[in-house]
Amino acid sequence: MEYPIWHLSALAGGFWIALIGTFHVFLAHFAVGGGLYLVLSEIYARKLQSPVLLAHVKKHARFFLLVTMVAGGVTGVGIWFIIGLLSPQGTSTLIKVFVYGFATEWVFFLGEIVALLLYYYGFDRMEAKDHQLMGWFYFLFAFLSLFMINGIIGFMLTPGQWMTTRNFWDGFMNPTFWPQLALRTGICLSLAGLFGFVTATRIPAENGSDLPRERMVRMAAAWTILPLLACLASGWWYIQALPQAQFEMVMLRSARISGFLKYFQFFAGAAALGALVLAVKTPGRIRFPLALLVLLTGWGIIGSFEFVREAARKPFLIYGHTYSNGMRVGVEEATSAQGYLATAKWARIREVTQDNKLAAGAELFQHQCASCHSIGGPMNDIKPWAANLTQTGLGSLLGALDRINPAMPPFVGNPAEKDALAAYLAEGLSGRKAEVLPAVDITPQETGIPPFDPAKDEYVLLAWPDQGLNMVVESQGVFSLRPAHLALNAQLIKRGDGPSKITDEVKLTYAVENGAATGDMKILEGRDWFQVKLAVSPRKADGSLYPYPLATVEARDAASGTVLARTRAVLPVSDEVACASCHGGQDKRGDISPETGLNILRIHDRLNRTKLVASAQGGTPVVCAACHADPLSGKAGRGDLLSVSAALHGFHANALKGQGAEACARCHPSRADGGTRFQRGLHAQMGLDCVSCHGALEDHALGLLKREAEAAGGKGKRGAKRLISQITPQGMDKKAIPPRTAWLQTPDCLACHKDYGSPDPSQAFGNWTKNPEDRFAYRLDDMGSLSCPACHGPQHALYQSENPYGKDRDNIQPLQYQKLAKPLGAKGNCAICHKVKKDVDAHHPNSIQQ
Amino acid sequence: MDPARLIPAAEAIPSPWGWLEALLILTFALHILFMNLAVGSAMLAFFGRLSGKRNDLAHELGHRAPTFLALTINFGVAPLLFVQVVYGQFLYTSSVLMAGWWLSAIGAVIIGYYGLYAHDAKFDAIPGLSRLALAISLAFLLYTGFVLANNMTLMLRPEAWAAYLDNPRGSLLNLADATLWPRYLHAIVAAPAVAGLYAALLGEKKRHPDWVQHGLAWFTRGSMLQVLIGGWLLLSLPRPVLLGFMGRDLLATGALGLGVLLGLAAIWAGLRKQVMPATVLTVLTVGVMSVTRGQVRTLTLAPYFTPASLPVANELTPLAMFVVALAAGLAAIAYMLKVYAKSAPKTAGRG
Repeated sequence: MEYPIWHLSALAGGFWIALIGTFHVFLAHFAVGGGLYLVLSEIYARKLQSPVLLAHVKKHARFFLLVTMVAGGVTGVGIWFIIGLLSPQGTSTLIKVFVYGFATEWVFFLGEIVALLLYYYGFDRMEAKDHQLMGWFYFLFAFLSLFMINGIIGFMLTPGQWMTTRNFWDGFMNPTFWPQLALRTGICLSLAGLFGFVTATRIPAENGSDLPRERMVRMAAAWTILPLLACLASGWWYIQALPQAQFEMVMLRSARISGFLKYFQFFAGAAALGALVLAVKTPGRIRFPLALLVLLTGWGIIGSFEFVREAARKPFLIYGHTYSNGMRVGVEEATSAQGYLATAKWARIREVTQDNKLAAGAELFQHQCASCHSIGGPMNDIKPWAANLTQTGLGSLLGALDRINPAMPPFVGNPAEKDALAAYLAEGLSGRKAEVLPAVDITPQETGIPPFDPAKDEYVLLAWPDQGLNMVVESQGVFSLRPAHLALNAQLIKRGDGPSKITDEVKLTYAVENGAATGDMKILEGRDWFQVKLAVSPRKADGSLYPYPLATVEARDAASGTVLARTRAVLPVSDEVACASCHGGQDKRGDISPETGLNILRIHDRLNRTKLVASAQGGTPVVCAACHADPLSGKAGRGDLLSVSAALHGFHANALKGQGAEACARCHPSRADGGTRFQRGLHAQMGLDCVSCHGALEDHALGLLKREAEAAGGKGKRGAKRLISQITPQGMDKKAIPPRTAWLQTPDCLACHKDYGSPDPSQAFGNWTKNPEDRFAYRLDDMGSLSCPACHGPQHALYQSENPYGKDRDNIQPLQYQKLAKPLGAKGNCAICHKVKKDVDAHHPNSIQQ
Repeated sequence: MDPARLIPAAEAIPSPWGWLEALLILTFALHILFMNLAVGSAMLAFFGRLSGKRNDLAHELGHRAPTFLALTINFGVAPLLFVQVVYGQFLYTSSVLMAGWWLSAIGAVIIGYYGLYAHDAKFDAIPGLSRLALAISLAFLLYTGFVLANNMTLMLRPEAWAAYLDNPRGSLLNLADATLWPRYLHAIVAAPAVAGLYAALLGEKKRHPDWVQHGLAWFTRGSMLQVLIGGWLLLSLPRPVLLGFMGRDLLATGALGLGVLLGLAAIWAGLRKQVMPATVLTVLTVGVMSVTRGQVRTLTLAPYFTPASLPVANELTPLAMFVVALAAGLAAIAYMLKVYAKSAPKTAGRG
């Protein structure tokens, strides 16, 4: 905001900090531990009265001086340079808060230099005791330097009480001060051992004896290995001392950290193993090269530790105070309102226009992203992530960056700036123009209405699917949310004044068009109708989308085989799931392509430390419901994880915030110009949309999440409470939204249609059915004879319905039995079943409407 | 565009700015003295080895140069810290503008540093390599000084910062600034002069009269040249700053006048072969000129910034910690030096 940005591309993303920083800390920690190693080695050599060993200690002192004072000392200044260049704002805060801490450290640095120079140049001329005193002074000053810097570095991760008091000591003696000091001290000592090998392996024989060399090599091994054990303990202490947010980042959230933790363990193990191999008498020729190799593991140890610490601090430079990109916490809202480019002093473009959109996006990238992300470089390359999403997806992500990925700061800017950055990421970096999902041309087809003669026919056969649309969410070979899952119900009614439901001595069969499936239907347990569970493909043999195949149902006399009744019903099923509009990888089919699927899994892996991409690519497609419960298909999932509905809606609620039903259509096949257009029933005709009953995405998600938050005795499933806290509802106070179990609870029809009367649509959201049997698909009328969809048609296709694939495709039965596309029996059509007119609302109030 | 619009907002400082400015000026004077010793020793050694005369002096100075450089770096850290506290909003900005150059200084110092050690280590064993190492070292150290001079002048010129709008890649330099070259030369020409004085001191101590003569020649000639460069620098300053030194600002004018007098006195003492008085006068000159340098900064930035305007959030205990640490550190260093001196060889020679 205040400072110019050094525009970098491949070598952005903290490359220089990582390079200079890890190199410096490697040497600087050696500078502390090595000081103790020197003076103790000298005492040891003098005790043994070994000239060879004493000469070795002097040689090691020279090596130590050249490594720590020159490369170590100057790269320390280098860190100052580079953080000032890449994070001037954060550096400024650090310097001003801790100027006297730094100044004190400078005094110790001066003491270090003087002591070390005197130790080295006085090696041969000073008395032993005096000389060792120089060594002790050196170690004291070196350790005090570590002590000072430790407080300041710890402050950045855990500023503790400083956040409120702004007191130097609160920041300096922060919550991780002591455990970090212990851990760093351990690393210092271990590195001293590793560096010890470099000179110890080259000690010449003394009077033909290798003993002095072996002694020192073994000593170096002990120095390497023993402190590593202390590191384990202090590392655990360190992690335990972290406040909740940082702790979760280390232990649960950050996929990067788990990698760095593994590296840390690997390098520590390699160091210990290398030290052991060097300690036993390895052949002389390979010993020194091996020592150098083992030394490099030390760089790995300290480097991976620093990476863990820095990653744990994300998205902050100073936790809770300054974001990683130098922006101050708290400026987001005002700056977004005014526009980032207009506010940032050094922005070279002040406003986004149609002509400068990509350039403005590039400028925004440099200001807000480049401090952590390179463009095609070795550190945190943005390109694969930008390629993972479309421009729309990137725009959505930027709108909720910090909420979707807790390691990211929020994007700060107005909507035009957000679009410009998304355009730059998609078009500028990945060469992908904004894509609009193509409108699908649908050719309506004739709907054959089976015949019915009210004068002669003795039976009425009703058939309906159990869902308004079975949404098949599957990326072939990559993942499937749940298997295709649709039940066809059929009920045979013998007409008469008192009609009866026939279940015995009849046989019901079904046949899906184009020979997709045929077979017998069975009595549904506990009900007086038949059912068959089907896995209906939404695709024709040629691969084209065909979301409303018709099933012909026939009832026969079991004994004679005579056909008693015949009807047809739509089996609504679609895999038109528009993940690609955000996640990319769109192909012509319009379902989730394998590329789209992998793009999605990559994000899941990144945010949840899973290895789903590897699983899919290894030939085992991921089954979402295997971990995330899915009440629709009856999968229990893992008890500690959100249900698949809560997870998906909760996760996407921030990315698609502030929208109406168009947010739903981003995933569900309800797009008005799509290939499914599944909202075809009466409600849609009346102008209601998804949001009318289910609430806006945020509200819907909150209902689902609240149920998940009740799990484990109120502790909640992982992420439930965090997501609830991050989502802002649109239509109802957050507290007022009642919990809802996905699929087992639905909006209660009777909340709007009170006593089956004229509806009040404002009551739809939040009034969930209490029991599974109360749901529309399963509820029975007042007589307990018919279920709602038997007469009204399935949810989302309530009569009168309009199907894009043929106007009356969803109205077959009303048209067949009463020549009227309204609920069965409407307008006094009681005779369909009763053969005669009725004047009592026996099924439910208002059922006889003239 | 109004350059003032580009200047970043500054945060509160933990002590009144005067304290920090004083620490800045004091530690900078020490930094520049050690820099003069390090680079000057390397220069004298280099010229000595080129001419083939006074190899022993070249060896002696070459041996001490890395130690001087260690102290140069250490005493560079302190003013770099204090300048960030008071003038960070200017320094960070100019650093970013010339980021690539600025960062390269780190690599250059490391190369220069190792070059000095290599020169000393192989002085007799591989003279050719040793000389090459010295030449490389000197080149990189002089380059470092140039980078520093660029940044220290660029930070004073917000009016030049708009160049960033066309080049944000961190590759700008401050070459268009009339003060750049005289400032750079003013720092660099002091090096052989101060090192010459040091050679004279060594000569007196180790009873090498030719060192004394040779060293004083470097000192007096270098210092006379400094007077000329100083005049050039003065005239190159922006007019309001120049006027400040010409009487409009009493402190600035007084400090400059005193500095010039001290410098002239040092040259006079040098010409009279009075090594110790020349040394004392030189150290005082550098101290006073360091104040003058601070005045240049204050006067140049005056249209944009007065340090007194910085908000102060007084914190006394951290300052107390620093003061105690400094006192204890200096005492420890004095003690160590005393112990070390005890072991000094009784006869004159290389130590």
